[in-house]
Amino acid sequence: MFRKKILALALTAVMAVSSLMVGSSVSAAEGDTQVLNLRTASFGNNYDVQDMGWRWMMAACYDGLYRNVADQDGEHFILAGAESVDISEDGTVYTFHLRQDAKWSDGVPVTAHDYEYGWKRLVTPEYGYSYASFMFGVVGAQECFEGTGSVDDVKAVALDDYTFQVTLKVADPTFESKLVATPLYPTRQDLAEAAGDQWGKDWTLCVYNGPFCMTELVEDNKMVWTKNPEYWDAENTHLETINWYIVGEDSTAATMFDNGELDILQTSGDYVIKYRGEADAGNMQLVVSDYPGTIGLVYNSKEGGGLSGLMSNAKIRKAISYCINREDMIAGVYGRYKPAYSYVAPAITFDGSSYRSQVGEMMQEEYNQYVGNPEALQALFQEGLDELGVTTPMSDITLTYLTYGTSVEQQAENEYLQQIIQQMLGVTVNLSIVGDYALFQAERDAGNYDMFYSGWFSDYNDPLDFLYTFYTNAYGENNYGGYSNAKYDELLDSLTGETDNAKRLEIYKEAESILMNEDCAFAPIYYSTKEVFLQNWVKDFRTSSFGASQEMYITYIEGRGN
Amino acid sequence: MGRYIVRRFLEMLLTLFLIATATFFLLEAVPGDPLSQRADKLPVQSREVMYKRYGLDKPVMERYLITMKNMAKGDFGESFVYAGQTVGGLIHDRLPVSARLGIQQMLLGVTVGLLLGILAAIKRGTIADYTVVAFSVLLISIPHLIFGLMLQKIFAGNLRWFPTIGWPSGDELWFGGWKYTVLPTLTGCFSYIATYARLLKTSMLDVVNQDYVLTAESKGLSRGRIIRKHILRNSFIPVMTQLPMSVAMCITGSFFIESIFAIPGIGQYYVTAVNNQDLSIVLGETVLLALLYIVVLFITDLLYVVVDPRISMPGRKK
Repeated sequence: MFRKKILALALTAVMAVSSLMVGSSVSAAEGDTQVLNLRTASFGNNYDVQDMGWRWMMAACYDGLYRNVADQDGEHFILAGAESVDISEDGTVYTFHLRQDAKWSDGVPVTAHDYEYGWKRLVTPEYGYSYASFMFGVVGAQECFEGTGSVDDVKAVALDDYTFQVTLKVADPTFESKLVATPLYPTRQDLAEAAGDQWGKDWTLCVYNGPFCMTELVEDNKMVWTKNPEYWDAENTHLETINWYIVGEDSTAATMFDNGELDILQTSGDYVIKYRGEADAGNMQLVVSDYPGTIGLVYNSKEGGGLSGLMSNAKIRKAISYCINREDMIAGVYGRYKPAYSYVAPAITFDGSSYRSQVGEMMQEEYNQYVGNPEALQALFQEGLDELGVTTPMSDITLTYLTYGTSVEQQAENEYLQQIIQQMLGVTVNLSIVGDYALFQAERDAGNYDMFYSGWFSDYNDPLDFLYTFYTNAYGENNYGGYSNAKYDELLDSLTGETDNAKRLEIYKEAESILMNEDCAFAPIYYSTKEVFLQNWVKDFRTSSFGASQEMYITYIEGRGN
Repeated sequence: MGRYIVRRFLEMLLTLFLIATATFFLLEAVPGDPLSQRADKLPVQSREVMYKRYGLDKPVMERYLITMKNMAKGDFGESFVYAGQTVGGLIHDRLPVSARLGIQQMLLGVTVGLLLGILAAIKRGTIADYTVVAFSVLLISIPHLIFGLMLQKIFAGNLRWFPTIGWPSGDELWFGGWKYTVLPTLTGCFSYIATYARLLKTSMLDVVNQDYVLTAESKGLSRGRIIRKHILRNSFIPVMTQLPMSVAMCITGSFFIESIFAIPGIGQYYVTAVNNQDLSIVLGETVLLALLYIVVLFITDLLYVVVDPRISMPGRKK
């Protein structure tokens, strides 16, 4: 941890000094071409904003009402397609005044009608968009999607060419945080309808209203974006070309990064260690940021208490959770990420600052009393057994951990969890390892487990998106172990229409505390982070967590020399 | 001959139908479907709509009939996983890439392999023979992946003679852009070299000890003539049996190579499709490869007769 802080400080210092040297304006050195080369393992072959296609492309090539940025102020949104917004007193009517200089790459202005079409398209049932639920707060949207209402009754309408008005059923403070998500971006009706079922599939039929346009695609090989001269903020877009290469193997990517064929690299395993060393030595830059994901153990909360029959007891669930030394595990297994002691990830902000820093880590206090103390853990487990009236000695108890996948990291994960739980509690942990996700799903849905590894990556910046996953059957009856708590559901229901942020915060806190402290429905293990290595000549490259996963449009190249 | 070809053609149709049916039901038998992972973390309302959209809400038999009916028209449908990709597009865009890679590997690998095999056979027991054998064993034991990464690291990374990844496209799809193809071709050709060198050597050694070779020698024929006319021709039967396998495999066999060098071919896509249970693509590719294999086998049957006139064509009156 200490080392990391030093690294972070050093990096900040380097960045500060370099930004002083560069000055505030971008003055590309002689001979630098504004070309950025990146690597990915696969392209998202989906260019439909409503379908939230490949996020990197969505972010760079399209523009919505708002744009998410992550800078020194943390994650927040700025106005993009909208120039201003009026919110009615009761918080239900949003009137967006669109900027009049926004254009599509074919020169046609972006109008409120494009937004209206995009939004209505999202809830048209025949398209079956997975993110339709983003709009369910809008009057008429859910009814339309479920086939009981008409698209004409959806209250997302263009009042004139540059005024777009949305009416919500009840006031919803999380609504604005969803606006950075691409399903709520505009779509051109004329082109989408002419393309028919090829819309979003054939990239040559697309037009773009973002900083870049896609100009070349060789499947499984290369994708090229070039600067969109029609973008309203083209003046501040520095890169002329962005090349994406499909590079499956980390070692190939490393060769290319070492050669300067790649400017930016996300990698894993030993390469991370190698490049961290290089970054420490100043040979490259390392950008580490929080990513809104939390991973941990989901317990079988269904009636019967899982295969062992013990998972219905909170003390037993806690004893298992507190066995796992988070710091040790993430250092030993992943070599990255942050230890997690709550469910909502630190990347989530609420009312302008990190939600996590406002409510603290939920289970840390209790966890500290138990971690690394087998006697205390076994006593806690035994208490649970007594409450259940089970007389089987702990050494005869078998817990089943369901998992899939064969990567080195996954194996290390499985072994660590098995070892530590066995060691601390003296029970047997049976690893039930299945071949792939479909088999995992089948076993899970059949209830053949006590616990499995899972989590949530948030789609929009509000604690509710995390907390809603444990709402009874919100994501099917099996995804979160079949957890159901009437009090928890009631708390989340009480948020509907609640506009007072202080009250919302209290409700979030109480709900999360039920999840973490009372029920221990989930044993959080790590908060996700993103590590990106940059060549020293890459400037102002930012990563952000929502809507646009990368903000490349302010990035520029300086000092590469070619 | 005509009747034979018609019979083979009908057999081929039946085989393809059986293969398609088996593939369909095997994929059905595996738990899950192409959408299961994608739909798993969706709100419940969205899931149903999504399954409906892809027609996966219909019963298995109904989907089987629809699939077969479309297949008879040559329409395998669209990928469930990669929006917009069809088997037709696959044949148009990806097949040429894999075909060129495969052909280059085979041409180089089989030629060099056969030459080394001849060398090892005629120089039996010498350093040349041992070198070829040792070399073959080494080449066949090292996986493609290791070879590829090694070549990439040395020739693209350190020496920078060739590009690290990529493949010619557009006008250079079939001819040109050679610098991109050198490393992938080399990586893939080693296993051909090893296979064919050993195969031909073994086969030639069998033939060398045959009586007719002794006869030819005693007749006073030159060594070159004996090798060309008597030994080589007769040693070619096992090679002829192996070749169609190689031709059919060369298209899908380059999975790792395609993945390391970012080559947009069919092999990589096939494996991904199987992993994703992408029914339409798996079905289409399987039928395509089966077709290729059957055609190649048929041609081999005809070629047997050319190489060895003693083998008679089925259906021909004796």
